[in-house]
Amino acid sequence: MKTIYLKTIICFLCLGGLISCDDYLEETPISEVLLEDVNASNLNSILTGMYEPLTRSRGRVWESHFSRDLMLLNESIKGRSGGNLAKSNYELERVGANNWWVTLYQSVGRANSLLSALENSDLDQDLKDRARGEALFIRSYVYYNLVRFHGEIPMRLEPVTNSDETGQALEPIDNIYAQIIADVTIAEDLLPATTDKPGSPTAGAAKVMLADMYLTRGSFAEAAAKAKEVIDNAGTYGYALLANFPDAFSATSDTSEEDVFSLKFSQSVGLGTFVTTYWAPRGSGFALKGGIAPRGLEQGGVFEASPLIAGWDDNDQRKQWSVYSELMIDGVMTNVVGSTNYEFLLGKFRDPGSVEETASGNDWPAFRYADALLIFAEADNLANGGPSAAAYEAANQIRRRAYRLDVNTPDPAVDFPPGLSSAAFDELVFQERGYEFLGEGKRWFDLVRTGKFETFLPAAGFPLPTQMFVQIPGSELSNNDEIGG
Amino acid sequence: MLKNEINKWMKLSFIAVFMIMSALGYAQERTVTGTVVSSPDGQSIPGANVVEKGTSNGAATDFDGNYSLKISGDDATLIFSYLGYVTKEVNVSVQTTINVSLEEDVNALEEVVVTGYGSVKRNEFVGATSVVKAAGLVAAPVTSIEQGMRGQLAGVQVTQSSGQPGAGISVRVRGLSSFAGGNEPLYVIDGIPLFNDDVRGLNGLSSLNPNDIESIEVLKDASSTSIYGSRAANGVVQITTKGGRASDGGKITFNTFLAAQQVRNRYPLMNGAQYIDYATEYINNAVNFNADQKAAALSELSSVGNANTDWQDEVFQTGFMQSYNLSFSGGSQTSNYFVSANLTDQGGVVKDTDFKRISLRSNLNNKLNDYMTLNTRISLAQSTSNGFLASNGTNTRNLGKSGVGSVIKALPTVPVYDADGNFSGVAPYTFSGGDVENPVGILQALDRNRLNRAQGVLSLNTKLAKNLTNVTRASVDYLERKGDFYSPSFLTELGSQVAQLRVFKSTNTLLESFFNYKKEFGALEVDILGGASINDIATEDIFLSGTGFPDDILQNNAIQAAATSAIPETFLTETSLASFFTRVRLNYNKKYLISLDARTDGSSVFSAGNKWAEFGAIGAAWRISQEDFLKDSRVNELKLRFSTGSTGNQAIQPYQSLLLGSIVLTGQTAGSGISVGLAPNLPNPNITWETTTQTNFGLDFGFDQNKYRVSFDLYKKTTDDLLAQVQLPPSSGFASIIDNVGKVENTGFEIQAGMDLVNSDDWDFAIDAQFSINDNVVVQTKNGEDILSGGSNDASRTTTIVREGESLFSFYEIKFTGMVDGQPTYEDFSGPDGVPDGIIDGLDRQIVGNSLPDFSYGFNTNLRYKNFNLVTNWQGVSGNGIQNTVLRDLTLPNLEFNKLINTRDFYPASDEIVRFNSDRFIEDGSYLRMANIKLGYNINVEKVKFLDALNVYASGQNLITITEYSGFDPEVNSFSGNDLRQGSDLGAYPTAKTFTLGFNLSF
Repeated sequence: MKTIYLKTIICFLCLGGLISCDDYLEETPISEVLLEDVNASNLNSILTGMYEPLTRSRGRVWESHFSRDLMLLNESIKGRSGGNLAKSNYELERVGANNWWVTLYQSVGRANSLLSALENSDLDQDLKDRARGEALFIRSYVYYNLVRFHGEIPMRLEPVTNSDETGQALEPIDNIYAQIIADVTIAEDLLPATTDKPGSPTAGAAKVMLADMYLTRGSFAEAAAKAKEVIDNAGTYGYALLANFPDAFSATSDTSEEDVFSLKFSQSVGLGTFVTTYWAPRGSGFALKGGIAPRGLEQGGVFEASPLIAGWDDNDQRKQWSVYSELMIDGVMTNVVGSTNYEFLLGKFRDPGSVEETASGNDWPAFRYADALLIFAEADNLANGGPSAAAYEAANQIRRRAYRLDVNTPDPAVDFPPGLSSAAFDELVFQERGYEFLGEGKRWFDLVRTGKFETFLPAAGFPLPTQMFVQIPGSELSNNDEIGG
Repeated sequence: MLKNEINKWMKLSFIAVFMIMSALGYAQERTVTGTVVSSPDGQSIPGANVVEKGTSNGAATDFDGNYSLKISGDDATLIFSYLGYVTKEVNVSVQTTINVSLEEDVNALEEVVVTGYGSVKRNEFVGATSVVKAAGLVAAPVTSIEQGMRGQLAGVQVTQSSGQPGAGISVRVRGLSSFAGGNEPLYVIDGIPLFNDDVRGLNGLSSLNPNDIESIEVLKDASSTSIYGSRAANGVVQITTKGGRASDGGKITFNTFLAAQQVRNRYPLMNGAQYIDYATEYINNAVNFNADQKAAALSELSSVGNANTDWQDEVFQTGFMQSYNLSFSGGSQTSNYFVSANLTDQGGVVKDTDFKRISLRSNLNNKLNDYMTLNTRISLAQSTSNGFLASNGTNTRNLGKSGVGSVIKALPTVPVYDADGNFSGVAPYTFSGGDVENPVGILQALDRNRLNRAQGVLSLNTKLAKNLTNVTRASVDYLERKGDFYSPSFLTELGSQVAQLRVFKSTNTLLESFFNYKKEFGALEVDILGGASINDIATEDIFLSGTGFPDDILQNNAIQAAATSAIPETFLTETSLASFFTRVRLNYNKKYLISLDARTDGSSVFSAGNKWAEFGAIGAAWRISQEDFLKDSRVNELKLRFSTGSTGNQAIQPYQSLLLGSIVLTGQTAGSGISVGLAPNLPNPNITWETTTQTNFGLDFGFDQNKYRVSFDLYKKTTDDLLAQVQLPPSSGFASIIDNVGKVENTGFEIQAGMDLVNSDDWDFAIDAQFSINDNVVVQTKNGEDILSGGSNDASRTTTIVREGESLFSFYEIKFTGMVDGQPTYEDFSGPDGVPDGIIDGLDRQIVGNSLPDFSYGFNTNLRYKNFNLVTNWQGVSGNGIQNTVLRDLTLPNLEFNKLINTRDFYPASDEIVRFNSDRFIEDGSYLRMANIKLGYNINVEKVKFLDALNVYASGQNLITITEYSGFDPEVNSFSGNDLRQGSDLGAYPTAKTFTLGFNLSF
């Protein structure tokens, strides 16, 4: 009896002893890591973490929704049930601007965390510089997309660390451009000329993005100069036009000479792009059998009567690749267009090897070498009041590639006619951009920055927009003390 | 079909009964018979226990108090016992007839309440509780214990998420009080606090065999729950499993039933001809179609033809359910046992869906010596359910790709199979919608959940001194849930050849020890308890998936064969809880009762300064019936109760107070490969416990030896520092953060009453009823801001809001104001400047109801005539809304999917309709339902020596339901209990109407 009594007491004290030890309640994560500083071993992972939201596939992410909505704003594309976003009075809140808003700002947040951590870090200066360059590039890339789509937005340059202080006011558009142009100008010097990590920004990527920003702002001389730096040093940056246009949109290649900066998707479930599925035909089995995507949501298509498409030469390889109406289904060429509102489907991104809708490997091209050439052609012409030989050459290289010709050999059959006025040259370059970038989410921004929407939209039968920017999503308005309610 | 099932069931049952009888045949000694009567009045005592001392051999007296027992020999001693009477021992010697009269035990008449770390006589209990006993629990053929609790407990709302066999059920004690900390009560099984997770997601309770349960006691007020401190804010469900008794002798019980189930209610969908008529009219009147397009669409309509498939007929079936339960119980002076085995096999009302459970339990008590007793409780169970791909409100599993959703959306003009014998596509026209599968095809998708659970408790009770005892116990609860999914090659919408495997494991270990000191100082009884416990929970989550397989037959059983495998994912967590608890009970003269309870909990999930918290309560009661002026009156019980105190909630995910990098994957920087990144979180080092303060007033009243009985309870429950995911502006880079943000109040009133109206030799009639009202108000949110549900990928169309002054999770929608000229109209409630702006958009959303009932009620009747017994159980709720997503989808004015026959009543015009998500499809979810009716007959087995009792019965479940709700069933809640979106019907699996035959046999 006595020993039992004693033993129990001892047991109980042991139990008490265990509890009194605070170690017992200390928390150590198992499948996550404590993130107290940035150092040489975690720097690469933190950088990768910054890119991740931009390539998130499952769940209506930005590459699919953002690009779909951008395309549904185009004058040449109609939604499946006949509408264009113009018909919804451009109220994009209804189609879910919230989705890209969240993911884009996650990248900004992670870039800001990294920038702030780098300030107090004792990393080697070269590692620090490169990381800073990447973070500034990504933050600017995001803001550049957001400012063109939404206009005034909250511009955060510091990480949010306190959940009680999360308000951020809207920033005037001019300030946003000033900031991102300054940031990319810094990044341009910090980033390396080339990278062995496909998808990491380089100095060349920074220059092309800078040229694009200048073009948007109407700073044509600066745009032309920046684009020229890239064209003149194409060898340094490893840039060239690919001989075969479709190769630029391969589902399987890591990168290519034409790739300046792109969002990288993998043929891996959950890490691929949704874009193929978005535009693929809905008809039963068509998308899979036709080698486009595992299945089709057919969010819309391209209609022939629109001004851009009406005059498009059938021999242009870009047309043959970028739009289609028939696919080989079970050995029979079959019309797969599932709506009477349009004649073609968008075919720029195709992945016959994709097993699931989130597993298409096609990268999303933010900037290609073609951008540098066309920015130069347009900006140089507008800056100098007429097309220079160099501007002609840049545009003609794009034309020749489209007809599978050697890009450096002039060919009057496809080259722009000589002696064009500045205005006529500009019209043709604009059209060329339309052909070259169809399906890449650039058309709406081009229409807006040039003011050409005023002629193109009515010509395609759409009403003029009553607002040029898309409303900021409700989740932001209702939770940000500094804006909205 | 039915005949076959009955034949099969009868055969199996007979085999089981025969086996038991053969085993019994071995015992062949001499027999003693006699009668047991009550001492004061000489009335016979039915059901009294007669046991041969030192053995497990025993019998029970029959209805007339007669018994017959085979004994080992002349030197045997018989023990006669019956609840409420003093046990008596008689030496047999050479007697063959032993008649016994038992003395009434005045002290033993009282029932016991199982409380935290002990028990107390019900009439000396100061807290508020509701109880359901074994008999009530299995009155209807239930597959899980919560089903048996439905409608029986005041202040306890039991809601099934759907009618799917084995589907989870949420239990709400006195309303909702938490945003993110969970609203499920703490489950304590045989004294071991186990979990208060959302049981729906895991349905951990489906592994418990309802036949093993002795009682379920729901502790509701602070006095009874605060000893469980940080986990008790939502009430405590004390589950006690059966034990053996020496008086049982060696008792064998066999229960079985066979049930046939059918869908209770169907949607009135268009048939093929109706759809074609609708479509023809629609196309002809369509503004958006030009003449050519109209001609093309009409020609498509006719070329597809009309197979007139009724998809509801194609997938619904009569589901059969069988249950077999065998238990052995008994004991001796030094040990007792209860051992049981259960097999339940429930086919669903949808083909290829089912629920199966196999469970074993062994409850042993062994007296080691004069001062130590060892209790061992081991249970092993596997439950498996095959579901019908429920929608989860995301795009991946939206309505059209869910089982029920495909049934209601698939067009009736297409046949089940095409000319080649393959499943035909159900989107045959260019104008039909995508994202919908062939419903018969979807039956072949694998959607299985399997739960393996092993629970073991070793408990050593030591009598240290005359008044001092110690209980030291250790328990392990191991749970493994395996979720299997496979979509065969022909399901291209769902994803061709997609295989998934998710395994969740949790190991919950507990070590605790407590001392109990009980002593009487004159009229004052003192009962002091003190102890400590440590509790660790380790979880492990594994997810594998792959796409593209050589053969569909592999399903998800060989993921390595996938053409493309997704990156495997694993996620592990560990949490720990350390606690000290104490209680002092004072009982003066059995009149004045006080209970003081306290607990200190330390939890790993909070940051260093916030780990520890104290909870405590005081309860007091005055038993007025014990006062002299009432002592000899017909009032046998009159007790006033009061309690006030605090409990907590710590049910949040671990590690949220730490600055972490979580693992993310991307193709960026890897080209076509994959690279691994770290994503920083936004930690909240300040999070702390959610605290609920509750005050309760109660009154218990019993008249004529409880022939008439009623209890009232009035309470106010205030929950502070609510744990919630607070939305942040997305531009911060973070969607939300866990924080302590607000205050919710639940005020309510409960009444439980019963009457034994008739009590005679031939007739008994009793009725019991309960009624409760709970008013839920959000008193405060962070900075007065609203919290909205619905993520970026929400296809559920349910939006709820947490707003000050309103009920928790109120529906938040644009208000539909009727149809004008064929167009729906909506209230222009507000605009960007806070005033109506002439535009209907998100700013016009307002509170349009909620999913919480105004009141809920239930009543049971019990009628006996001689050996016949008729029981009915009724339950109802009133005033709750249900967001009927199905109705919304079935009335859409387009040609994409099938529709309700009366779609034109919703949208008379064709196209060009401007619609918004609105409150139009929020329906009244009130109902009154006869959950169970059962007619039983006790067959007289006096002549059959080896039988103790045989009861046969026929019963029906959900035969009567009175409701205005147009969906399958008003008992529905498609999102888990921890979700903000409550009261949503996302095409939930239909509820069944059930007919049952069964018998209970004991030897």
